[in-house]
Amino acid sequence: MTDHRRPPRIAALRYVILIPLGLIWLLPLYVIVINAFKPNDAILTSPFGLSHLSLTPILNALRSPDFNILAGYGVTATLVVLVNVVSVVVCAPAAYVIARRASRAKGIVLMYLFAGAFIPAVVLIIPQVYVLRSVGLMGTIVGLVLVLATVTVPVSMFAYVPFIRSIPIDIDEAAAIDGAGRLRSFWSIVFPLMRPAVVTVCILNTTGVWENFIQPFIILGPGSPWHTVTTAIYGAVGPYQTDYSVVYPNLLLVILPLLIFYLLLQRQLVGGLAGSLKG
Amino acid sequence: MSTVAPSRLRDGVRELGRRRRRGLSSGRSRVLDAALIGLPVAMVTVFTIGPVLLAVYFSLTDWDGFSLTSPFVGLQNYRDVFADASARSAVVTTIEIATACTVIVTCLSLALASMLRRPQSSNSIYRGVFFYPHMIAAIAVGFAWNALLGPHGAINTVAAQLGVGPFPFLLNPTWAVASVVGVITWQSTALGLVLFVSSMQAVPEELYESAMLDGAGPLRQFRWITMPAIAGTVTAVMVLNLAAYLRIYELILSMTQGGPAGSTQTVAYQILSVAYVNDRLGKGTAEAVLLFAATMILSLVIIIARRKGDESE
Repeated sequence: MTDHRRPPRIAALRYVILIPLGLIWLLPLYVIVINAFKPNDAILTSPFGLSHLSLTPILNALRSPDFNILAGYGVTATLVVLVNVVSVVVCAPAAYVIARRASRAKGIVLMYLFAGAFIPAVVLIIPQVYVLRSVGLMGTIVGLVLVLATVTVPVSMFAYVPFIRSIPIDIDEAAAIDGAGRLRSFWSIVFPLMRPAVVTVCILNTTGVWENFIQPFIILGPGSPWHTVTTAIYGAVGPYQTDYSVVYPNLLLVILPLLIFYLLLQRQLVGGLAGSLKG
Repeated sequence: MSTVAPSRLRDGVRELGRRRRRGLSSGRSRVLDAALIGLPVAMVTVFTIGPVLLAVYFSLTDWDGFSLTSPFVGLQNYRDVFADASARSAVVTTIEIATACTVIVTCLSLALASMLRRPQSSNSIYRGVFFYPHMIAAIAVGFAWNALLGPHGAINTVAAQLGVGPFPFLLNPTWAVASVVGVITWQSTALGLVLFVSSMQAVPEELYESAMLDGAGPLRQFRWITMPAIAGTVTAVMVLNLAAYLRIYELILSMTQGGPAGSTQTVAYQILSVAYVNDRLGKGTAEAVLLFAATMILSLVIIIARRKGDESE
C-alpha cells in the first residue's frame, strides 16, 4: 500500500531479487511433486518435464510392505498425541504452582527446568540410552515418549508461567471458596483460560515430534517394528537412493502432512515461533 | 502512563490474594504443590541434566556402554579425540559449515525480511515460499537435495541436456561442503525471516516515512531504523541458528553420508554414525561434551559481541 511512493528502480530491483530466489526455493518442491508420479526412466531423462505421469509409483510407495510411510503416519501421530498429553499434564499444573506462589526456590526450579533448552539431542542421546536401558525402557514407545516429552518442558514452562500470571488470581480464589480442590479448580477453571498458550505449545511440540529423527532412530533401534515417518523414510529411501521412483513418492508422502499443517495453522505457528523467542 | 495504574492495581489484588492463600495453605496442599513441581523436575533430571553429568563422567572412563564402574582413564578420551585426524577434520568441517551458514543465513534472512516486512498479500505468498522448507524434516531435506544434486540427479540431467556440466556437487570435497552450506541456507532462512518480519512489524511506519522525507534511502533506513529496533532478535536468531548448525546430523546422514572421503563429516555425525555405531563410546561421549562446551562458548561469544556492538553505537 505504500508501494507507490517507492522509487520505481528499487521496486524493480526487489523483483529481480525475489522472483529468481523464490523459484530456486520452490524448485525442490516442484521436483518432488511431479517426479512422485513418474517412472524411473522418465525421471532420468526429463526430471522437470510433465510427461509420462502415472499413479503407479505413489501407489507402490503407499502399498510398500517395508518401511511404509503410511504406517509411519500412525506411529508418529500416536507419538504426537502421547507427547502432547504427557507434556500438558506434567507441565501445566507445575507452571500453575510456580506462577501462583512466587518464591526464590520456585525461581531456581524454573531456571533448572529452562536449562535443558540449550543442550543438543546428540549430546544427550548416548547417556539417555544408558538410563533407558537401566530402567528397562530402551526400545519402547513409553521410553521414547518420556524422552520427547522432557524436550518440551522448557518451552512449555516458558509459555505457561507468564500466561498464568496474567490470569487474575481472583478466579482461582472464587473456585477455592466454592470448595473445589486445588487440582480440580486448576483443571476446571484456570486450564480452560490457558488455551491460547497450550495450543501454541502443542503446535510447536507437534512439528518438533513430527520432524524428530535422532531419538526414534536410536531409542527404538533399527530392529524395532515401530517406524516413525522420519525413520521410515530413512529405511525406505536410504538403501535405494539411486532408484528415484522410490525416492520421490516416499518424499512426497513424508513432507505432505506437515505442509498441510502449515497451510492450516500458519498464523499460530509463526506467532508461536515469535512468542517462544521473547525474553 | 495509562497502562501503569491498572497493572499496579492488579498487582495489589494479586498480593492480597497471595496473602490470603498463604493463610489458607495447609500441609496437604504443600505436599500436592511439591508433587506437581516434582514431576517435570524429575523428568528433566532423569533425561536431561542427569545424562549431561553422565556424559561428562563416561567421557572420563573406558566405557563399554553398560556398566557404571568402567575403569577411569582421566583425559585419555579427549587426547584420543585431539590426536585423531578424522575427529579434527570433523571439528574443522563443523566450524566451517556453522560459520558460513550463520553469516549467509543472517544476511539473507535480514535482506528478505526487510523486503517482505509489509503485510501485503503478495508478501505473505513470498514469505510462505521462503518458509516452507522449515516444515520439512532434515532427513527428508537431505534425500531431496541428494536426488537434485547427485551425479544423475535432476540438475545434472538438465545441465547435460543444455550442454553444460556435469557439476560435482556431491563428488568433490569442496563442492560437497558448499552444497551442504547451500542446502542449510535453503532450509533455515525461514526461521530468521519470520522472526525478523514479526519484530520489524512492531516498528512504527511513520519512522520510515519521515526518514524518506528527509531523503534517507532504503540502505540508510535499514541501518538507522530497522537494525537498532530488531538488534535483540538478530542476536537471538544467530544464537539459535548457530546452535542448530553445530549439531547438524540428519542432513549429512541422508545427503552425503559424510562423504566424499569424509569431507562432510560433522562432529554430530561422527558421534552417532561412527563412535556410537562402532562402540567407541568413551570417545563419542568426549566428543559430545566438547560439542556441548563449544555450543555454549560460541553462543556466549555472539551474545557478548552483539552487546558490545550495540553499546558502541
